[in-house]
Amino acid sequence: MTREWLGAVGVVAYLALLIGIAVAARRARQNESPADHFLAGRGLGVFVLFLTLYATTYSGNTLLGYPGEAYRQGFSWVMATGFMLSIIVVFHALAPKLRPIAVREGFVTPGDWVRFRFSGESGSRQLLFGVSLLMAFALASFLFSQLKAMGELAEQFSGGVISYEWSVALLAGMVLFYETVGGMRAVAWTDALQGVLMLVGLAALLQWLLAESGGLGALTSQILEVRPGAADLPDAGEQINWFSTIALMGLASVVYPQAIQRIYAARSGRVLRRSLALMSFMPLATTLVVTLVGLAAIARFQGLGDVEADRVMPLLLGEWARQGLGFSIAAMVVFLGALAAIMSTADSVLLSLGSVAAEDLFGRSHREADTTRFGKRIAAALIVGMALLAIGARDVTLWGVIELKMELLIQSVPVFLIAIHWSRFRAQPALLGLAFGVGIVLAGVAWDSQRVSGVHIGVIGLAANVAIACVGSLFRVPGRRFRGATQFE
Amino acid sequence: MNPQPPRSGVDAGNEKRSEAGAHPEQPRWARRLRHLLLCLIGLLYAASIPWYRGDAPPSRIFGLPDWVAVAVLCYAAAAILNSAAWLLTDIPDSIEDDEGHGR
Repeated sequence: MTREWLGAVGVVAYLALLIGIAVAARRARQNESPADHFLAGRGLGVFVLFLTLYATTYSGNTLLGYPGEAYRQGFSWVMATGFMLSIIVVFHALAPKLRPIAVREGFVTPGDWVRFRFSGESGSRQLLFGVSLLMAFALASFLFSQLKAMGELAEQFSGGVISYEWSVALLAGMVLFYETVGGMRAVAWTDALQGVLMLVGLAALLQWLLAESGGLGALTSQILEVRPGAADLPDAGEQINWFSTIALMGLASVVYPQAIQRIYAARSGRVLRRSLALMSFMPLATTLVVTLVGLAAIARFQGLGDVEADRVMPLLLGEWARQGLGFSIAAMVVFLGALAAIMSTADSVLLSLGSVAAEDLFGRSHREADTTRFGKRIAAALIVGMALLAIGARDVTLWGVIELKMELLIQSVPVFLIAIHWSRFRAQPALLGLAFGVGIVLAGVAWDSQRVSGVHIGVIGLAANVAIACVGSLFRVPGRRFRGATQFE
Repeated sequence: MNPQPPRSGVDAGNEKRSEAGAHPEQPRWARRLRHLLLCLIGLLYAASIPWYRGDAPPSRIFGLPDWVAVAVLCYAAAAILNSAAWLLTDIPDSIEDDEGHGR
């Protein structure tokens, strides 16, 4: 049996399993309410919550974009392990306070927090719209990068038998099917399967890479033979960029709508904290492994361009599979694990995008079944649009998309992290700060200067945003104050 | 844009709420230990970036350039401490209303 046939059989079996899970999730639904569809009735336990958090956080960006960036940057990409961990660290500032309020008030979307926290204040509607727009943009660009990653992976692994375009269309259709049929329950259950596949696949790949290279020391030597500067100490600018990237990713990822919705969807606070405790170890089990994959590719594939570097993972899998039947099967497991990682993020993003658009942008009530149907229709339209974009704009680096998305999304951080801790934080200055921060990012993009002395333009924008919002809040006429939990006075 | 009206319970006439039960008492030692762990994680992050290193060529630790190995070890230690900090974190599920009824 050829590698292509093995791949095809594996993909068909995997997709059939996803369909079965979606149907089972459909049968398990309690009603047609948005809370049931978008949050699985707020009943996720430790095992499923942990795996859905894991599979959602680690995505096509992680599986394809990060090895690509490690290939481009060399050893300094070890920073990726740090910034993925920083997400779970920064959650300490949000989850313990947001969760009880969300449970009491029945939040479904991140916008529900904004609506609740700033209700009655002038500028609150505009602030809600601004934050929701940023989140919708971040989710849409996230969806785009997942679809692109799916296409790249399937085309490379099938040796071109399934074209990039067909891969994007087929897998986007599958994600839309099980998300529409089973909602968050189907997404979480498929995430659990996908998370297990991803862990097994990455463990197998790491084992093969180290065995092939002769251990970490030999791998380092091979890399240095090809690229002598790869182990050089980062210069001052690169070190500042390291700090800046940790700040950018750690802060922006915390306000990912799909991450916030998982805070709402946990069965209990105890379940949530145990899941997050387990998540702390995932950067070591995942990000560090894919970084080593990208580094190993330096020694194996020389002279790849910026865009081609995003294909080092499928190239490695192809090389592995060519070594025999046993290796083909192992490579197929890794391939399915990578595909699972991408699909699991795409489905979560799509589900979140549907709810954010329906409730926060179009103002549908979170208590009506009609909102669920409306959210599904929006999700369908968006995935078709993003699939067409992914087919048309293939020559974009994944890391480039990630950075831009994070630089914009990070501007909504004060509305969550500062507003939940500081009672005097007000809507109008927050809106002004948000507009200023976004303006700085867009100006940086327009003038092609996304970093200033190694610092991301998004981090600079956030500093200005926070300064304006905080100073403005201090000088606003005192009115109603948020007192934590559910209290105002 | 057609935003929803404010939710019940946040209306102007119903703003003041009881704080009772919002955050069940967590032992003081647990709170302090959690804060200590979070501070240590911050220090490990600062140590993971080789800003304090001289220009000497990197040696090898576990087969990796030393500054890479130090970063990995810092992140591994931070992961352990962060996990412990989460297990010490109190995330209340119920918040009582004015009459003291949990929801």
